[in-house]
Amino acid sequence: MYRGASDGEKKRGVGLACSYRGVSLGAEGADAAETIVSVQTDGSVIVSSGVTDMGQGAQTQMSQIAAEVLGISMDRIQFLNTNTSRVADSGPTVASRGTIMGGSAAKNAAEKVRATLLDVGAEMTGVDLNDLDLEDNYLVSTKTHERMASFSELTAACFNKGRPMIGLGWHNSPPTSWHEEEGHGDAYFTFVYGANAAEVEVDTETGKTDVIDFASVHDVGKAINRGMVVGQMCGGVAMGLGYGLLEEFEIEDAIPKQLNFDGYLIPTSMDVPRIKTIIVENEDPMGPFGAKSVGEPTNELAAPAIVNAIANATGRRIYELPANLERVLLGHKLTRQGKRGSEQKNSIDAMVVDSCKIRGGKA
Amino acid sequence: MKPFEYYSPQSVAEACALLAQLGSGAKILAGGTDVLVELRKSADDVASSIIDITGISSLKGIEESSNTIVIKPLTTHTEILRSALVGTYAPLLKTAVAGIGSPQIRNRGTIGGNIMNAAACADTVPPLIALGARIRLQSSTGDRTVALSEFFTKPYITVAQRGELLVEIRFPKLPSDARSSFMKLGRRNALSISRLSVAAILTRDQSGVLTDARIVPGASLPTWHRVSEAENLLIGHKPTRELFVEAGKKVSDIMISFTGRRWSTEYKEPVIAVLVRRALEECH
Ligand SMILES: Cc1cc2nc3c(=O)[nH]c(=O)nc-3n(C[C@H](O)[C@H](O)[C@H](O)COP(=O)(O)OP(=O)(O)OC[C@H]3O[C@@H](n4cnc5c(N)ncnc54)[C@H](O)[C@@H]3O)c2cc1C
Repeated sequence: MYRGASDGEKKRGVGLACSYRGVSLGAEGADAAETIVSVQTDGSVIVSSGVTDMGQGAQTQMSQIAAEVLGISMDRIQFLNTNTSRVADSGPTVASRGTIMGGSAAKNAAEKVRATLLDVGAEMTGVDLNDLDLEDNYLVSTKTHERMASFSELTAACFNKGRPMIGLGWHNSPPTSWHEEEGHGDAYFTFVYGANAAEVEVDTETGKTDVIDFASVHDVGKAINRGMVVGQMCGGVAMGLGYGLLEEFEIEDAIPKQLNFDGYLIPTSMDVPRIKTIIVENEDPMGPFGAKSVGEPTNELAAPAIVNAIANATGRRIYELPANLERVLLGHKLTRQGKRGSEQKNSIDAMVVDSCKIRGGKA
Repeated sequence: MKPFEYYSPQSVAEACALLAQLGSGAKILAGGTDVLVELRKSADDVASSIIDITGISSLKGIEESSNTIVIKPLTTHTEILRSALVGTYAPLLKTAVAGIGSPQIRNRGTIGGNIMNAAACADTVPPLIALGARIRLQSSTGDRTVALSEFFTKPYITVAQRGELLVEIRFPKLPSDARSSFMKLGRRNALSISRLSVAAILTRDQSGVLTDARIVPGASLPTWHRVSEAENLLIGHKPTRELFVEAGKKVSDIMISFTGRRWSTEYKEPVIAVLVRRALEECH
C-alpha cells in the first residue's frame, strides 16, 4: 500500500510537520489584559474580562483559574461577557493569548481577593494568617485541616466588615524586543512546540485523498482544562484538514467564485479520522499555573503534515493548496477558461457539468 | 425569498387542477431540498405559488407487481435505502441513494424531486436509466408514460410540460443473475455532489460470457443515456480487466465526442474511464 508497493490504485503515505511558535503578541505590540473577580456577599463570584470568548472557551479557563485561587467550585462562578464600559480593553482574541493573558489577569485578580478573605478569616478565627487556606469551598486550617468556616460565611463576614471583595487583575506581558532592520530580537517571551503526523490513502487514479489516521502532539505549558485542550487540538486538525484538502477561495475578475458552503467545502465528520491527541505539559513560569497557548498552534500543522503524507504516498509534491482531486491527480489546478457555463447556454460542453455548479453546488 | 401563495392539495386530481389553473407561476414542492435552495437564491421570481404535494398519500411508497418495481415519487431516499425490494431487485439504486447528501437530505429529499430537478449530477438517474425505468406523468388533461432515457433534453430541462405531475416510476426487477453497481466520485465523503458517477449492470451466462451490459455515466454527458458503444464491447465476451479498461476508454471517448475538449477534460477523460472500469469490476 505504501509508496513503492507496485499493486493497487490506492497508496498510503505518512507525513510529519513540526512547529514552534511564539506565544501571544510578543513584540508585535502592546500586550496586556484585565480580568475582574468580584466575590458577592452570598459567596458567588462574578468574573469578567476584556478578553473576548467567541466560543473557544476562554471564559471557562479564566473562571477555572479564579476558582482554583479562591478554593471554590466552578458552579459558584458566573462569567460576564466582555464589555469595555466596565472592564478594560484587553486587546484582540488573537495569537492564542486568551488563557495566558486573561488567565494571568484572572489569577492576579483572584489573588487580591484571596488575600482579603484570608485576612478576614484570620480575624474571624484567631488562627494565624499563614496557617489558613481556601479549599473545597471552605476556609481551612492548614495545620489541623479543620474547616473553620464555609466560603459563604467568610464572604458574609468580609462584607460586614466593609472589606472589598473585588479584585482588579492586570497582566502586562513580559518585555520583548524586535529590531526591524536587523531582523532579530527577543520577539516572544515564551514559545509552544507541536507536531502532527498524518496518514493518508491516495487514490492514484482519481486524486481522491482520505486522511485515515492522525496524531497531534502539543506542548501547552499546563493544560488548565484537558477536555478543552483536546477540543482545540481536534478542531484545529479538522480545520487544517479542510485547508489542506478542500477549502478553496477563488476570485475571478474581482468576483469571488465561492459564495456559499455548497461551493466552499469544509470537511464533514466523514472526512475527519479519529485523532490521537497527546498533551505535553511543560509548565512555563510566565503563564498562569504554567499554562501557555493551544488555539492556533493546533491548526497550522495539519495541512503540511497531509501534503507531506501525499508526497510520501505518490512521490509527487503539491505546492498549492488545497490538494484537491485535480491537483493530486494532474499536479496542477484546473481553471475554467472563458465564460461561465451560465453565460454560454447554447454550448453543450458548457452545459454538461457546470450545471450542478450553477444550481446544485460544486461539481 | 419572495412571498408566494401556498397550496396543499390532498389528491393527484386536485394537484393537477391547481397546476392547470395557476399556470407558469406554479412550482411543485416535494421534499424542498432543491426548491428551497432555488427560492432563496433567485432574485427573479421562481414561483408565485407553491403547490406542496406532500399531503398526497397515493404518491408515497414502493410496491412490486410480478416482474416490476414501482416507486412513487414522494418516496424519500431514506425509504429507498431501507427498502428490501430495492435492496433485492435494484441494489445499484440503493447504493446511489446511500450516497446522496446527508441523513437530513435523504430524510427529506425524494426520488421524484431528484428526477424532476434534472441536475446532471442527480444520483438516482443513472441507476434508473440502467434499470430501464419508465415514468408516468399526469396532468388535468390525461397521462402518459415516458422512458426515463428519453425524458431529459439537457441539464435542468426535460420533456415534461407545465401542468404535468410525476406520479410513478417503474422498472423491471433485475434478474437474479445480474450484478450491478454504482460509483460516485465526489470531493468529500458526505454532502458531496457527484463530480462523476457511473451505474453499471452485467449479466453473464453459465460459461461466464457476458449476455447483457449496461453502462450509464452521470455528470458527464449532456443527457444521461446508456453508452451502447461501450456495452457492445463487452457482450459476448468473458470479462477481463483489459476488456473493462477498453470499455472505460470508450465511454471516455464518447463523452469527449459530445463535450469536446474543455477546461475540465484533462481530469475527466482519464477518471471517467477509471470509474467505468471500477463499476464493471464491482459487478463481479
Ligand atoms: C445539501 C444538499 C445536498 C444534496 N446532495 C445531493 C446528492 O448527493 N445527490 C443528488 O442527486 N442530489 C443532492 N441534492 C439535491 C436534492 O436533495 C435531490 O435532488 C432531491 O432528491 C430532491 O428532492 P426533493 O423532494 O427535495 O425535491 P424538491 O426540491 O421538492 O423538488 C425538486 C424539483 O422537482 C419538482 N418536483 C418534485 N416532485 C415533483 C413531482 N412529483 N412532479 C413534478 N415535479 C416535481 C419541483 O417542482 C422542483 O423543480 C442535495 C441537496 C442539498 C440541499
